Amino acid sequence: MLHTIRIKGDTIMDAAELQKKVYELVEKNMGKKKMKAGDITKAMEAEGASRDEVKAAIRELVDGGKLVYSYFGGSFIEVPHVEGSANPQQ
Amino acid sequence: MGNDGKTPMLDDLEKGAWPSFVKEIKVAAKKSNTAKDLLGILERSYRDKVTHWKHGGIVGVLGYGGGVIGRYCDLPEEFPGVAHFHTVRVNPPSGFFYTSKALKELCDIWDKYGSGMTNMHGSTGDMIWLGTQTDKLEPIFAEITAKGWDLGGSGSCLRTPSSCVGMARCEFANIDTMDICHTLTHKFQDELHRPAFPYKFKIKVSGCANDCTAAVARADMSIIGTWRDSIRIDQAEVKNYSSKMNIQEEIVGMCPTKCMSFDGGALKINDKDCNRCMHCINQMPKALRPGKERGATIMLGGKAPIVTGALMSWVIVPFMKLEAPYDNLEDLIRKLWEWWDEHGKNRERIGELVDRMGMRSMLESTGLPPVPQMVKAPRTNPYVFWAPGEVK
Repeated sequence: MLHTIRIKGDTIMDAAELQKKVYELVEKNMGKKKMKAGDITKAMEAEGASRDEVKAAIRELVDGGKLVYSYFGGSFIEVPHVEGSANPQQ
Repeated sequence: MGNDGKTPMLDDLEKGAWPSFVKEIKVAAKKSNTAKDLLGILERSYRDKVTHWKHGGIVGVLGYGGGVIGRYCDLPEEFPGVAHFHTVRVNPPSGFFYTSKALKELCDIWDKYGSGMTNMHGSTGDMIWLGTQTDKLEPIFAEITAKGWDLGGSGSCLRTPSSCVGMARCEFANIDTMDICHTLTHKFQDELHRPAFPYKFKIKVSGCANDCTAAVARADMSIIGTWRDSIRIDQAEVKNYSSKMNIQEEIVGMCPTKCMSFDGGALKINDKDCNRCMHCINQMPKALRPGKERGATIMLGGKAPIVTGALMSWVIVPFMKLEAPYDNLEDLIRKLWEWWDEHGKNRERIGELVDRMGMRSMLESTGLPPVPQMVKAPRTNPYVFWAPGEVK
């Protein structure tokens, strides 16, 4: 899904670029802070993207398997990984 | 105890008058290794006085953030049948009406891929399927969706909306609870499957103030059917009831707002003081019926104690006309979510946020007018504040 998003004044970036920014934000915070969808939205809104555009970016990334939802007393968005508690499949 | 099949501590739980989950798991264990090992690990946990479950936070199906609750055990060699023991939540039909054929199809899918053990229904309202492995989740999802079913909600999202049986079976229903539940489920698919809230949000729809879904105690948003005009009275039937019951004592005397009087002949109701509690209508259904102008009272903030104490939901809209496609209700819910998203902390329910920030912030954000019905208890005025410019 490629459409143009207007970011802060005249700067232009497309949906793929926003997805890249979202992914990088989640990846950068791995092991330091679990990111909620709301955290990502607020960070991207600060860069000029709208709430709906961020929502669409997260949707694309999750549907594509690049990011996954997780639950640890609340829902978060993470880069897929093998979690410590997982027992190997027989 | 090892996994020797002996369960003396669990056996104790089969004694007594009440049905026992142990008995049911033992039935399932005759044909399921998962159920057999579940008994073993449970007995072991009771003996060790420690849980042997580990949380699986990342388990799910592609694209969805809810519907599967991951669970592993920490003794996979001893109890391989429960090395993975994930729970699947399946969204039920509104009002929990199934055909036998549908139930059989669902059970066949679950027997094929899981332990066969179910909880119908969990307190979330979902069908709860207990015990499957990670590699079975996508096949389960594919098969249930092919039959027209879907996963329910879990995590920080809209949980599966739930309703009473409503107009399908109940003469007291003031609103079409099943249609409202079904419509909201379809309108909010994204919010149900893609967790984006500070924490969970539950919607329950009851057709009247009898509140058979217990929405007031359990739901962040309670939608309770009610009426705006007057209770309809059949005085001839009142007379019939008067020969069988003490109307003065059992009806008039127990009216919470004391809005009724009975002179031995006719029953009079001051509808302006009636709070639509349903007590008199429940007691004399042939003589009294709800009014004709029907809709719902919208309440906010009910929850069980998790982070902070339990809250009962309270009125934010005394009367809302509810007709398909319920755009007015959708609009209100979306405004509430926007406000909660903006200000809510991680794991803060919307009722807790109102407690923390006050009703004023919520009312300003949603555009709801402050009304007397919002006051939770007499002689308190916690919600109405004057801005400096408004004071003369």
